[in-house]
Amino acid sequence: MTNPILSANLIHDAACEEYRRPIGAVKAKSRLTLAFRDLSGCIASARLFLWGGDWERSYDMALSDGLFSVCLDAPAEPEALWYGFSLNPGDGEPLWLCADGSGRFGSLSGFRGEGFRLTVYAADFETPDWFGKTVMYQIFPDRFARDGSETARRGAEYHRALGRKVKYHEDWSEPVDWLPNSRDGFYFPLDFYGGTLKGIEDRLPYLESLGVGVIYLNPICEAASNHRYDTADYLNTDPILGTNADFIRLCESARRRGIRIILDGVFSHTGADSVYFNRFGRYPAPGAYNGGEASAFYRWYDFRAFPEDYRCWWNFKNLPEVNEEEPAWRDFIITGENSVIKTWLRRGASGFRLDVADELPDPVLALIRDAAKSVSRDNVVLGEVWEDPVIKISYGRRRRYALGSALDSVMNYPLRAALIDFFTFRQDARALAAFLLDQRLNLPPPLYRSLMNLLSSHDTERIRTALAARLDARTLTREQQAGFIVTDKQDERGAAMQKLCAAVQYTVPGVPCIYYGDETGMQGMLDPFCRGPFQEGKRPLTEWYALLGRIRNENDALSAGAAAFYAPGPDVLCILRFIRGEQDLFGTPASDGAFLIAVNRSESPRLAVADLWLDNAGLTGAELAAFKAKDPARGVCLLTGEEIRIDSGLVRLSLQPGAAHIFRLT
Amino acid sequence: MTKKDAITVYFGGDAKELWTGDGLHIVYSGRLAALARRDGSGQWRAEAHFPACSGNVKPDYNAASKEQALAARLNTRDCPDLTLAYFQTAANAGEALLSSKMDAGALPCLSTLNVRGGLDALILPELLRLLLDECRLSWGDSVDIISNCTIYMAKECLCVPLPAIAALTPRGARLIEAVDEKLRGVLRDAFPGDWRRMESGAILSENTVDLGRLSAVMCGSVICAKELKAGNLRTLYTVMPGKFEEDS
Repeated sequence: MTNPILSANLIHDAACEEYRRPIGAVKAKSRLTLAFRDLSGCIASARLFLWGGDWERSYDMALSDGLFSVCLDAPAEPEALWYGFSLNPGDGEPLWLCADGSGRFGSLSGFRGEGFRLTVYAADFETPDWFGKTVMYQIFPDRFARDGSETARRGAEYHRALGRKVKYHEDWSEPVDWLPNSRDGFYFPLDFYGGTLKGIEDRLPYLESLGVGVIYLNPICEAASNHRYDTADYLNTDPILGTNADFIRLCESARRRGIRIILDGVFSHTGADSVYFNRFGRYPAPGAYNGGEASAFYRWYDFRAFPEDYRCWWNFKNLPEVNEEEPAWRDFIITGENSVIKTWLRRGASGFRLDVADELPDPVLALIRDAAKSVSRDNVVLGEVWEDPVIKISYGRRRRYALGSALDSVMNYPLRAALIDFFTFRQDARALAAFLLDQRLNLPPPLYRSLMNLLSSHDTERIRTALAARLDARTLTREQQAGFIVTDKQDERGAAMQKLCAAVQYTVPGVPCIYYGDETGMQGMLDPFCRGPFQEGKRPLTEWYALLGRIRNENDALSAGAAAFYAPGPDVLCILRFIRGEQDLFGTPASDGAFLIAVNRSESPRLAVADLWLDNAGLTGAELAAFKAKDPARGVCLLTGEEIRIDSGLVRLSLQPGAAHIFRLT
Repeated sequence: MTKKDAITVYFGGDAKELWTGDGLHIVYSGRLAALARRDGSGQWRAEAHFPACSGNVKPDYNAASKEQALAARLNTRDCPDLTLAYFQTAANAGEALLSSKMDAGALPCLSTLNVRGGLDALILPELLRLLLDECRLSWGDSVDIISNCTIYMAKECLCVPLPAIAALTPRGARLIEAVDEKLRGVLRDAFPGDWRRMESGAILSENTVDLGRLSAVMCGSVICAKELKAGNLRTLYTVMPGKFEEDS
């Protein structure tokens, strides 16, 4: 019997092992099976087309019991690939079965459409086990905590003595500066609050109480600005923050509490006001600008016309870009025995977040990885990438830094956007679940488990503000942002949504990261308003974050377990995490456990049924079998104590408005 | 609909949709009628619409004769279960509407119809037909009324070929297809792109009507064993959990 040739009769599901084995990203050279089922009975023959950036291959597919399939070896080179099926109906026009809008299911058309994604990553790609299981806390060092000493004031004087303009906020609660303050009419971030490394060290017990296992510090090297992305001296701590000894002591104190420190590595450019460029002659040795070719650093930079016309980051004249091909630069920053990277790691850092990783060439990123890992395999290399890191194209080339040669992790801004879209009602739960599945299927597992899952950063509006105001801060001028008032009602709503948002953040694969002050309910639009001094907002959620941190840290399944995502209704998102067999996905010993997370964003109660046995895209057959074998029958919420029953994999959830649950399934 | 307190039940023929300035009208042709009247024990008995007259050569003689034969077969149960069930459920539907004095809105207050998911579920498309075509209510109002006056006490999930239903009630079969189409819209929203998952909840599959799922979709509430929830009604349970009574 034949049926019409419709999408419904030609089945490919990239999340189902019947059609793709294994599901998700695959290791280079590994065996792979791709298939589709023909329910129409009309397809005479089919070919698989597989393509990368500049190549394409095709394979004959064999037909057996209505299933067209082909086994192949993944390419030896890690790469983002795509595939589609070319169909020959025998007596009709050729057809294509390519990816639908979700990228997961097949869509039939008369031409080759979007392919299904297939990520091939390096077979030896490993990321530090500790990192995927921890909780991160991001600190903008000037704004987190003062200490009782005169360190910051002395540091400010140091900068003034060099000729720099420095404003010191005597009052910690003052608003940040944002008005134009330079001769060219722009705002320059020269106002300091005097937070120090010692201040951070003093607050380690607080961070420990939040369950934090790693602190990510925005730049701490000497620089002219308060954000310090304009590095003046790579090897020294900015005197306002303290000394190199303070940094070493901070790392040691933190390590005693089980907390590591990672630093911000700003390597694509330096400050113009720096030891290396020395545009203003503030440093004694000649820099590239004031010393020309006589300077040891001249070749670090690209002068189109010396000295005024030089390549700089996004045309900011105070941020001259470096020439990463320059051996001397590579030696100084990365490869030398006492390179900047190795030096800070030896001082106690456990890795780097690489600023504007997109703007560092892949070979340089690979060298940075090698350097970091040469000090310790446990060191982390995390990249600032705003988009999907596997298919990112920058400067005309598809980047490969997420496939095992360079980055352990990236800043998961896409997750942030997806969560905000959901919790501000721009998208429904199905879109969020589809997004989460997309990351599961397309990111290399070692990177996936290490994603830096942030809700805010120094470059975005704070999550409370985003959820309370429900508008895109980028549409506002700086003046409008400065004058924007979040009403009490909005803040109340924002706090309610932030609780749910954090519950999801802490339970999806990856490393949840708290941007300092988010836990206390701080508000803030874009830079510089998101960089205010640490303080308590109107509706702090500190205890909530501490509880989430404790639950996550106590249960391996929440950090390292298999994951599946469900949307049993437009307002309800469910996440299943579990470990069976006492080891995680990477073979590391881990405690068994199964958890169902459910959130209801609605202001009304919601009744939902989650089907743990059927709606589990993202799980492998073995994972699902292991889960079903245990056949959990009940669950108890670790947040509220509420109980649920599970019958044949079906969970009936009566969710109160704004409810968040983490059910332990037994 | 009635002839001296009897309910007219139509069989077979053809039903065509005709859009006029007055809205949608259904034009029937070639169908046979049987009058359903309750006997002393409350059972439905069939009567021919017109008594057949020997030697009558009017054009409708054949129809009248056929109706006589149909009524006889219905009363002696000398017909397929499906035909008998259709006769009884259609009569029940007509009676329910009659009891509300054709005020369909009052129907939920007057009647609560229990459906088991077997052939008795044929009452659902027949009710829908009456509300849409006879009472001329909108689709939404009709569906709401049926939902408010029906409970699916799930005992079985019988499957019946759609052509068999269409042979008895072509309009009813068309309405089942329409209910299925609307359900598929809901399933498409719930499982975008996942055709297999959609199929697992659909009423129609390979030209067969799942009367259990039809009942679950059209009835206002569903009371069923957990085995059905976990089995044939699983997808509908996840998509419309509010209809399903919680297990005690």
